[in-house]
Parts: sequence; C-alpha cells; structure tokens
Amino acid sequence: MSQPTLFSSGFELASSVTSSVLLHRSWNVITSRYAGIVTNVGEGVSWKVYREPGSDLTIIAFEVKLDFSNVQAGLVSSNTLRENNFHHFEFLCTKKDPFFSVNKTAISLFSENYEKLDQLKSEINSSTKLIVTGHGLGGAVASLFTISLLNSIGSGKNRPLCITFGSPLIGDKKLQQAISRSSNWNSCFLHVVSLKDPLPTLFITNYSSSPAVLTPETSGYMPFGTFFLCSDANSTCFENPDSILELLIAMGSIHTQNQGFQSSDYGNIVEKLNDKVICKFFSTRVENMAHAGSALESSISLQLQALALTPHLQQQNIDTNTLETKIKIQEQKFILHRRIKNFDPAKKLNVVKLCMSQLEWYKKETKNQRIGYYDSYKNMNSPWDYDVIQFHKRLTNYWEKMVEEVEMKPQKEGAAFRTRWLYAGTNYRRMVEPLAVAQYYREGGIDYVTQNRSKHFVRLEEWLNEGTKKATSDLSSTSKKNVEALLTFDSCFWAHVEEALLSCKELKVVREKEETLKKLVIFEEYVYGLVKNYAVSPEIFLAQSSYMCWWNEYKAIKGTFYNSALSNFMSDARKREQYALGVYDFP
Amino acid sequence: MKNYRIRDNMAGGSLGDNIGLKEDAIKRVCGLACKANNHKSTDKLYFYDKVQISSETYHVFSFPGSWDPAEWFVNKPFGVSKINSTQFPSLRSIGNDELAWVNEGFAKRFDRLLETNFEDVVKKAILDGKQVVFTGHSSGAAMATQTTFWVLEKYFNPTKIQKPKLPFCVTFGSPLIGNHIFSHASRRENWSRYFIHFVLRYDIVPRILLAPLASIEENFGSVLQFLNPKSKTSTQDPTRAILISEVYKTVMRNAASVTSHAACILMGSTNLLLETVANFVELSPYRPFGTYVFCNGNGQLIVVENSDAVLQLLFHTALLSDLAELEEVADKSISQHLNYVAELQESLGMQNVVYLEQLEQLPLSADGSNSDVATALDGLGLNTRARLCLRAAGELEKQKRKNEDKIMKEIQDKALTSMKELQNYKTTCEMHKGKGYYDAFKVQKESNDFQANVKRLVLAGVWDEVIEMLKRYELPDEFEGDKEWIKRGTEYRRLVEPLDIANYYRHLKNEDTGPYMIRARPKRYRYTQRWLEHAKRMPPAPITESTFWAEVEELYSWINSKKPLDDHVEQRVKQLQKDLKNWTDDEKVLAKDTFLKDPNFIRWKDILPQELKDTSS
Repeated sequence: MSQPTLFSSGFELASSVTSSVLLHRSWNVITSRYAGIVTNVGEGVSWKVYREPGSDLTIIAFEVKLDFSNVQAGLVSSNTLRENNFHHFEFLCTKKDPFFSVNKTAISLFSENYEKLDQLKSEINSSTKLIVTGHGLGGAVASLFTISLLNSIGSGKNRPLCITFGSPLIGDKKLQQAISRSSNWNSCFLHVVSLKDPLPTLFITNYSSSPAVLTPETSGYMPFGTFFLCSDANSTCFENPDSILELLIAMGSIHTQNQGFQSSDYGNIVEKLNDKVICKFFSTRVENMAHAGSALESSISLQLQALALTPHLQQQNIDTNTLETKIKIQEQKFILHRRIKNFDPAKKLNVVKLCMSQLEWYKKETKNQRIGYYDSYKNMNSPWDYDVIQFHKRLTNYWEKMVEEVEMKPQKEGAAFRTRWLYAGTNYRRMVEPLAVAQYYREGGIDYVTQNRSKHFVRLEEWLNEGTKKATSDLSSTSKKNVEALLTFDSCFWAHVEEALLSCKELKVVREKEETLKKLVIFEEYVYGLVKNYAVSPEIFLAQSSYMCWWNEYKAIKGTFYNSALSNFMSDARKREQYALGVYDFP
Repeated sequence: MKNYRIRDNMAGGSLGDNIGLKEDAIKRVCGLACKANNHKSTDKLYFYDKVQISSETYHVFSFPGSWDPAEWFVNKPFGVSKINSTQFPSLRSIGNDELAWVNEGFAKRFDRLLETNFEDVVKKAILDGKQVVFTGHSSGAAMATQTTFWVLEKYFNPTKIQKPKLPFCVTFGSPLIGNHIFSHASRRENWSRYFIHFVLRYDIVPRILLAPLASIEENFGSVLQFLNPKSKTSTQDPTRAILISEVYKTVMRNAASVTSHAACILMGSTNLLLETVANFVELSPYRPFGTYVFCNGNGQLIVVENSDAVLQLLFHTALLSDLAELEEVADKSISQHLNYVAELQESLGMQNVVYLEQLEQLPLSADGSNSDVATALDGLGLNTRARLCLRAAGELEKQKRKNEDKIMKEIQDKALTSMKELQNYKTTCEMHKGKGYYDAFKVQKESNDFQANVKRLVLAGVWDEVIEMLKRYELPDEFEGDKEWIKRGTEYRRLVEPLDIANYYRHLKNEDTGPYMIRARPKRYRYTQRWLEHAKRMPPAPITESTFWAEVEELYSWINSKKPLDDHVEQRVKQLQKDLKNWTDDEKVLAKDTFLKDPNFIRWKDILPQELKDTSS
C-alpha cells in the first residue's frame, strides 16, 4: 500500500488561530483594555479576571514583574515538591514516569500563591469557557495554573485554553511527556513567541555555557503544547517539541542582535497579524516542485518562510539550509509517528474476538473429553493443545497493551476508558488466566499468585472490583441461569487448586504438619464459598480435572467419616449435575 | 470506480458540452435570473418563461431574491435550522442518520413558494419533456437550489418509473445555503452535476454567510441595499466605501477561520488545538456543493467539482495582495455581484474553459508554464499556500476512493467465502437437521456451529471497518447510494444478523444490557438497513426480517415470566405474526423453513394464549 501524501498544517493552524481573534482578546486583558476587569494582587504575581459580557467566556491574565536578572534557570524535581508538601501536580506522574521537573522561579511564584489561586479555581464554573493567559513570566504562571486545572477536566470538549505571550519554557522532557500523553491536555496550550523576543529562549541559553555548543540534546528544558511562532508580519504553528526546540535555539541566535524587543511589541504583532489574515502570503520560493512527494516539503518551507528562516533570507549566525533540512526530517517523523501511534482497540477487537471464540470452542471440546480446558492445556496431550498456545499469546499481547495504554492515560480519561472495555476485559481474564496458570505449573512453578501473576491480570481484576461494589447482588441470578457457559469468577482458582495439590503431596511425606492441613481446610472453605454462590464453572467437576484429583486426595487424607458442607455436596453426583443445570439449592 | 464520471475529452472542450447545457442557454438563463431581481413587482415569488434557444425549447423558472436582512439570518449565529425531511428526505447522511442544516430564512421563503400554484406549473413543465432550468441570482439562487432538490426528489427519485428529462439548476452569485450534507447527499444521489454555480472572483455574496450575524449585523442591511439592483442607494453615498470595506474585511476574516480550519482537516492534522480553538469561536457550517464555475475576470472560466476545493477557492481567490487594496477590492465585491450578465456574455463567448481535476497533482508555484491549468491558477492569483490547500482537497478525495478499493478487496478476499459458507450452514441446518440455523447456532453443539461463529466474526470485522469509515466520512459520498453496496449490505444483514441475535441471547446478554434492539444492535446492521430503506424510500421499520428473532426472544421472555399480558404485548404479537406472513408470502425475503421448525419459534408459539395463536400457520 502506497504511503499517503503528507502535509504540514502549521501555517493553516496559525491562520485559524489568528482569525479567531483569541490572541487579540487575550492581549486586551493583559493590557487592561477592557472595562470591567477585576485585578487581584498576590505575592509577586497579580492576576486580572475578565468576564466577557454577552458570552460565557472568562479570561484570566497573570502578570509577574520580575526582572530577567532575578529569574533562575534551575529546575525543581516533583520529588522535591512532594517533600515540601506540594502535591497538586502528583496526577501528572505515573508508575512508568514517576517524576518530572519544573522551573524553580515559576513554581515558587505559583506555590506561594496557591491558596488564593485555589480559590480562584473554585470560582470557575465547569461550564465556563476559560482562557488563561499571561505575558513573559506571567505566561509561565498561567501555564502552571492551567496544568492544575487539567486534573479535573475529562475527555469532553469544554477544556481551558492557555495562551501565553513570550513565556519562558517551564519544564523538562518528563513534564512535556506527561502532558503530551493526553492529546486533550496538550491541546490546551498555545504559546505565542516572537522571533525577536529573548525571554522564551532564556532558559535554553542560560542552561548551557555558550550558544556555540547548544543543541537540543543539551537542553534541560522541553516545550509542550503548540507554539505559535511569529516574525513581524507572519506566523506559523509547530506542535513537534523537537522542531520547536530547534527553532527556539535558532531564534536565540537572532535575538542577541536585537536587544530592543519590548513587551508591547506583542500587541503590535497581534494587530498586524489580524489585519494580514485576509492578505496573501507571498512565497519567495522559485523552484517548481512537481513531484508528488513535495507537498510536505513545500508546507514546511512555507512555514519557515513565514519566520524568515529560509536560504533566500540569509540570517547571520544561522545556517538556514541545515535548519530547514533538520526541521523537515523531524516534522515528517513526527507526522508519521502520529498516524501510526494510535493504538485503536476497536479495530483489533474483532481479531481478539476470533481468538476468544477459538478458546470457547477449545473449552467445549475438552469438556467433551471430560478433562476440561485447564487440564488439557496443562498436559498438552492433544495436537490442538498446541494450537491454543498461539491464541493465548495473541490475547495476552493485546490485553497487556490495552492495560498499559489505560495506565498511561490521565486518570479521568483512563477511568472512562476502563468502563467501556471492562466486560471484554473481564471475560478475557476469566478465560485466559487459567491458561497462564496451567503453563506455569506445567513448568514446575509454585505460588503463582504472588510470584508470577502478570500485572495486567491484577489491574483488570482491580478495575472490576472498583466498578462492581454496588452490583454484586445482581450477579448470582444471572450466573445461576447460565451455569453452562459460566467462567469461574476467580481467574486464579486453578492456582489455588495447584497449591492445594502441592499441600496434599507434602502431607504424604510429613503427615503431622498442622499448618499444611490448615491450609487445605481453608482451601476447602474457599471452594465451597464459590460453589455456593454459583461463582465457579461446573467444569471443575469433570472426571479428569485437577480439582477432582485434589478432591480425591483430600478425601483420602480426611478419612471415610469426614463430614463437611463441601463433602456433602461432592459425595452426591446428582447434586453436581443439578449445579450444572443451575437448579441446585444450597442449604 | 464505476460510479465516477470520467471526462471523455481531457483536453478541455466547451463548457456546454461538458456540463450538458449550451452556452447560449446559459447566457439567456443568466439574463432571466438577473431580470427576476430587477422586476418591478415585489410580491412575485417566481417567474416562468418558455423560451426558444437555438431551436430548442426550455422551461425556465427564475426566482427573485430577498433583500431583507431578517430573511438571511433568522437566528444567531448563522441562521440555520434542520432541513424539512418531509420535503427533502434525501438531504441527509443515511447511515449516520444526520439531517442537513439549511438557511432557515431561505427555507421559509421556499415554503411560501409552495403555497402558490408553483407546484402545478412545475409539474406541467417537467412532464412536457423539454429541458427545465431553475435559476436565480443572489438569494434568488437559494430558491432555485431548493426547488431543484425538491423536484429531483419528487420526480426523479429511484422509485419513479416515469423518467422525464432531468432539470438543471444554474445560479449566479449564489450564497451558500446549507452545510456539508448538501454536498454529501447530492453526490450520493448522483444529482451534483445538475447544480451549476457561477461565481465572479471577488463577489462577496458567496462568502457572506461564512460570517456570523453578530460580526456584520450593524452594516448588513446597508450592504444588502448596495447589492440590490433595484435599490436607489447612490453609489455616491459618502459612507459606502467605509461600510463595504468593513464588511468585506469581516467576511474575509471569518472565511479565513472556516477555510483554514477546514484545510487543517484536509491536510490530516491530528493537533487537537484545532478543536480547542473551535470551542471559543463560531465557525460557519455553510459549505458549497455541486459544480462551481469561477470567472477570473479576463475571460477564463475555471470549473471545479470538488466541494472542499471550492471552499478553499472562495477564500484564496478573494485575498488581497496587500491591505492598500482593501477599498478597491471591497468595491469590486459589490459591483461584480451586479455584473454577471455582462461578464458571462464575454466569457462564454471566448470558449476559454479549464477543468481543475486531479487536484493532488497541481503545480505548487507559478512555473512560467503555458498549460491551461497553470494559466488558470495564475489568473486566480493562487499562491503556493492556496495550491497546497487544493492539493490536500484532491488527496482527501483520492484517499476516499482508495479506502473503498481497500474494503472491496477485503470483501473479495474474506467476506465472500465466509458468506458462502454461512449460506451453506443455513441450508444444511434447514434441510438435514430439520430445525433452523438460529437454534443450531444458539446451542453451539457441533463443529459446524463453531465454524459459523468464526465466519460471523470475520464478517463483523470487515463490515465494522466500513461503518467506522462512514462515520468519519472517509468513503466516497456515492458509497451509500451504490446499488451494489446496498445489495451486499442487505444480503449480509439478512444472513448474519440472526446469528448475532442468537449469540446475544445465548449469553443472556439481554439481562445485562437490555433487549438487543434497544442498545445492543451493532451499527453494521443499522446502517445497512437504512441504506435499503432509503433506496426504496421506505420509512424505518422497527422490526425487520433480520431482527424478528430478537422480538421472538423478548416476547417469549415476557410471556414466560408470567407477567400479565397488556394491550401493548398483544399488539406486538399480532404485529409480528402479520410481519412474518408479509415477509414470507408477499415480499419473499424470508423462507418459512428458516423459522417454522426452529425450537425457539415453536416454544414461543406454544406458550401463546389461545386467543393469540395464529391459526393460519
């Protein structure tokens, strides 16, 4: 299959942003151009709140009045924040990525004002359309404030938009990855950066000894969100953090010659861009690229021309040819990765259903052999047992990936996701985990539950328990009617059987061990609890099943006159038959 | 690729030959369209002329426009409402079950038109067998468009046996009148080519509804008067230039919003910032449809059929070279709207026509070439940015066809053999076991039953992919109207859906998630049922020949649970009995062998109260 033609849409996205007039409105709040703006003063930070009349839009603008010389380039780890009892960004961490770092100055300003800002948050209606904005370090605080809002927004479309003007970068690669894990979160950030503004590149350059050795690999900081980069009269957007960093470094080389940039220039730029959105952008490129693959290259070339970063407009200190080549390679990689990256569970679900139906048939066939699929797979006596290995692997790969995907998602998004897939996930766990148990004990393993159980089974079970605390009473009526198709609720049932069998073997050697006998009695009670609640498949009663092996051993150990609830049930084959029909009433 | 017209003469050819209406006729029609707007009478809703053009007879209906701002924007922000699905049942997305949005003011005006004797006059003209043309200038064009859709549905839908000559809709400076469903539906029905829209390069009217009312409200009334050919407003009005410039700037800024948002999607952007920004602004839902003919002012006519490309062109052809040009271009945007007769007299006489096709291969910059396409692009003032957008529109259309080829291959590779095997399974169950495949599948006792389940899942995979693409409009618009796909979908639904139902009730899933028909029915059956119902212009059936098993199961469950039989249940039982008789005896889409001996059917019949037993079966 031929590769689809790729385009870079950054130029069009910038046009979409500009013509929306959101930049203009945000800047007007920053510069207090609207009547009705309410100003609040905190420690080192002030913020303005503007509720737009006639609409449900609220704009919050942060302002910080620190000089450049007071801004520190140092990063603070989230572990340090935790030690200082600042827990409000914990939700960004996952087990896989347990920490990140943020800029020291910005986080200090934020945490010093946290109580007031938390109150500001509580005043925001969840249905309000919200723009959070700021210039310079105010933009950094605006970004942190918006991050603190992310924990409470779901996957719905009503999410805040953070628009910063000339903001320095605020975090490291881990922070960027944490925010980018959710496309929704990442889409909340729009950073407007002028080519001439030195502040956005401040931490990049300060972090290194000199510009000469500055490369993306040496930067401790990483951009996140979408960057709206502008020259005097044109603009374009980039979303790829690597490309953005490359361009910021290139821009850093320019601003050393332009010391005169004023903060008010953003107002002029916004005004000019707004006017020019209805004018053509004149391309200076002369070559005609007639071949089909040039659309992406032309798109990117157009973007760089908007920033005056092309070979025809040679800039001092910048190798524009190399820059253009680098950006093109990075953007192509990014766009392709975006297309491939989406793991679409619905698409692969049908393949998974096929595997499950194969297993269901396997279960049926092995029942007819009076052995059951657990023991059949454990013993591997038939040719079709080997076919099952493949289904087992495919299903396990799918669900391991699914669970990992969910865990990587932000909490609220993950929760919605889990609900949707819980039925299929539970069915999978109950059908397939016995195969994992069988394989483990066939290979001589012991203590499956604590030593070998795969994490994704644990998670799927936890999620079921979270969701069904209220619904437990409904389960028994359904399962009683449908005992024939029942899958044992406890997917580790067979592991417990194996451990009990091992205990029986142990008793033959050392008959007097009280502790081992106690374990067996506990297991017996466990089994009776399951049976009584119709929570176990009648397959366990098949003649050749491991459970029946255990039962026969246990009976012998207990002696002829042993009497218990389970023995009363097990001693009468008719009761087991009635159980399979769902009509046996336990006393 | 059979559904897509292939141009015989790739070199160009005359406009008349390619679109089916002669140049002389277009000139005459244009005159009549503009004349309707100049007519002294202010209360007539249509004009009818029977004219001779080059020895052929034409029935021409022309419509005057409205210059009342309240008729262009009935409500904020864009004046749209749901289409009247009784008048226009085809103006919707079938599988997605999504109705078109239409300009409410224009729709209300059309309703008033139907209250006159218009319907009778049109009927007589259509049945006369001569060429009928509906035409209009400015908002009169909106009336011509609605009339044409109404006529096409009334006299030319697939169930009509008598097929008179198809009408044309020719518009001049038409505003956009509805959302993307207009383009989607007209292409599906193969009606798109009968709508021909002429647009002069800077005419503001085709762009004006891309702006929300609030942004132009203050000046809109004045601008309409400048556009009204009967208006006595002087061109020497001292405020005219400022007003026009302000409105033009606002309309173009909103056009930029709509077209750049659309361009990002055409380019395959995955950046959700696009969505976040859209939450904060009002984006117009209006979109072009049909064939557009752009006149660039130097005699050249550029024909475009790709509606995504047309939207981009509406913006890019009207961009300024620099801000100093604003007043001049804004003035042109009004004067050109009043200049269609003169402009087309000249252009249609020059026979200089270019067809923008294979957009994905357009040159990306002015290369000094003398080719027709290069000249046309240069003449419209299109730069690299604009050409990239057109390329993206072409790529998207191409990708849709590739998607259809891909699923066709899946049908041939996987689905056909599975369907054959399931058909054999069904026949075997009915003939050899004497019961039915529904019960056999439900019980899942033998190896054949398991194999049937595998085939069912393979087919579900193929068809679910089709549905996912339809949801995202990733297949050609013609897809859901294609007889072959309707046939495939119907055969699939009738054969396989009973197995889905058997699987559902075998696992007692109805106790967890409710009846199959309420929430559990997969989209692959809902969509394919809608295709057939639309092709036959039938109302949606709550229970069909492929879903009656679910009704049997639900009724059995109800009656078996000893719940009292109320009138509703009795009604359902009688309806089911009646339907089964209709499907087997009248429509012959269901065989009696399929269900009569099936244990699930028998047990249901057995527990029916005596008064409800059907003695005829």
